[in-house]
Amino acid sequence: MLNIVGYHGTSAESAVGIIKEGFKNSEGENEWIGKGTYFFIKGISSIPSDQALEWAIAEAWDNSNRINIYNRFAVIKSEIKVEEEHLLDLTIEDGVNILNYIIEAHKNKIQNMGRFFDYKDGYIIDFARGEGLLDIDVVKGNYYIKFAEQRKRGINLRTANCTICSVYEPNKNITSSTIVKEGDI
Amino acid sequence: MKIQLLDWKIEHLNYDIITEEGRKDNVFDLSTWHSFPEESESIFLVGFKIKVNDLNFDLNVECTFRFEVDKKITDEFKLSHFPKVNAPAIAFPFLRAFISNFTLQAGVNPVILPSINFTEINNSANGE
Repeated sequence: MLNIVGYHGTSAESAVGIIKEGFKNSEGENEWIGKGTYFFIKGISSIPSDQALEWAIAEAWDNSNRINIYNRFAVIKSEIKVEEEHLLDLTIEDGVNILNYIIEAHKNKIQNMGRFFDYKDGYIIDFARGEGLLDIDVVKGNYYIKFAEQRKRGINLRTANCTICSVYEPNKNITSSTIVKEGDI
Repeated sequence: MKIQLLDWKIEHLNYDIITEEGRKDNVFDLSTWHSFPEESESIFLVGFKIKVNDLNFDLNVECTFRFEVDKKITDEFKLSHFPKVNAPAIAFPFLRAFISNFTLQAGVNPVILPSINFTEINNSANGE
């Protein structure tokens, strides 16, 4: 059994709900590694809690309306437990090979999902999980994530700056969660 | 539950005299945070970030206060008023006095920060 410590950045209001009722998975269309609950973990950065904080601050800004949609951030620390065989580690060659194998073995089916199917990691993982091809609970990977500063200055590197993980069934794999920081944005 | 202020320190201080004219208003901005260090079960931190844009100078101060409680910090405590209201209310007068003394000693108009109602701020943040 692997133990992963993850940090989740969100609004202070949402954090209260998470602590009381648990996590709800992210359901966006453009998720990095599938529809799950996301955490910053140790890897490229030695202080993932700071990245969670920066993420919470960046996500507060509604660029269309030029306002913060929340004024207080919170960082939640969670303990994640996962069997080694149910972790897809995209930071190593074996994990990347699995992703490539899925694309190659199921290319016709994947292509039928849409004429202009965009080969994003999250779509492939969601597809593979949905088809029962991938019996995984947690995925980790290295990605370039834009925080407030990078968004303001339009910095868009290809070099990964974060190690993140997505937990697909929070109730199953997250054993504890607690707020470690809260403050004004 | 008892809260005790253990100590506090200025983490960052930046002071600049403004030479050009044109500034018409004094502006004061305050933000707070609190955190629960992983290495301790009974200590928590409260931080302030203050920006004073006076007619004649800019002053930015960041400071951290360390508090100890007589019980293990629980999620219930973390969500309570203690870290958001009670502890900042205890800490703020120290910072207020520091800024008054600093500006007085610096030879500019001494800044007397207003009293802050942290209960009101917290209620407002919670949409109450």
